[in-house]
Amino acid sequence: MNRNELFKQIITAFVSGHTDTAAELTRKIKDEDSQAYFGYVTTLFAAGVDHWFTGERDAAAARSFVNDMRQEFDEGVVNFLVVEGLIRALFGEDELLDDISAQEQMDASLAVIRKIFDQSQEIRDRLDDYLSDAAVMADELAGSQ
Amino acid sequence: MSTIPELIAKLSSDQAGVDEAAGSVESSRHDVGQLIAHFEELGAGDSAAAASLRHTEEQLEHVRHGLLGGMAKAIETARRLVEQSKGHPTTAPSVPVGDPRAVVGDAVTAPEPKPGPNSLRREHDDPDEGDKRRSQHQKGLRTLSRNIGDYKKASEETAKSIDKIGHGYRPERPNPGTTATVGVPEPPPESIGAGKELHVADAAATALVVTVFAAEGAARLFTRRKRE
Repeated sequence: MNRNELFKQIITAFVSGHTDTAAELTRKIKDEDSQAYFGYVTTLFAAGVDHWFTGERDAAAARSFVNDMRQEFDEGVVNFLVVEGLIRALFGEDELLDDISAQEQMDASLAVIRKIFDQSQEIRDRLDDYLSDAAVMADELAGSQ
Repeated sequence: MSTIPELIAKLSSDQAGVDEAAGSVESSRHDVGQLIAHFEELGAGDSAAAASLRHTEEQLEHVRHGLLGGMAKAIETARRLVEQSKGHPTTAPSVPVGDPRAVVGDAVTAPEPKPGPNSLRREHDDPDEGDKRRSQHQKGLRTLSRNIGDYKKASEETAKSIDKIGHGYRPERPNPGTTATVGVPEPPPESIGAGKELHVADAAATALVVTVFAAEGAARLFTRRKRE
């Protein structure tokens, strides 16, 4: 299975609730593909957030989004401060990323993807398009290494 | 900005041209969108010329999608688009759109915008708002990509995260019939506007991200951290 096909299967399983499959497939990512995967997930995160936040894009909107997330995930599963920081960084407060590690960013992005891709019918309907756009980015990254 | 024939040439050249071409298409589509908006402001939204422009806009979106999905398909679509515009010149009275073949790629001259009470347009149909969003996104994505150099091993730790997050996700799903008093901001109702418009708008949302990446040059953007 090639890299992007693997990424696609991981995310497809993950957002449709097949968590164990997604985790198992994640273990198959080769170390040299890690950064491509980071770009893949970051693209989906940014596209998902872009789709979701149709109104104001500011700290208050991010905070309100995170407050909803608190009701939707078990305690201790998600670092909500990181999620808020990440969304606000995307909205322009870039200094907030200074305190977020790469792994924290990955985890927070996955949690946001889980929520948004589950709760937006539009994204679900066009999941393949989102995934192929993300694959374009992964290819870019793979080519740059 | 490029004309469609130039676009075809770009597509036919090397892989590196793809991103640039995608950016050009999006840029052209944006221009056509602006022109449509001006038509609407002038109350000519229902005119044949406006309809023709809308068709062009749709076609450009197809081109962009094909571009990202497959080169051959994109080239085919682009060629067809050229043939179409040859066969059906866009006649826009009092609006100089120039040679029909140039409509999709060349700079288009629109009538003076008359900002009126016409605020029914969706947020990202507004050219200024679109630019603002694009520039904000460009900055945001540049920011988010900073950490990539530190992300060395995806497999084990991320597998554990996936496991934890996936099993810990228990969304409350209020019945559509019951009143949602939790104040959960839902995404915009699916029923706004026609389905087709939604489709195009949604595609543009993904396009935004990708064109921003392409414009920035993902390689440069993502490897910056490595040097630090």
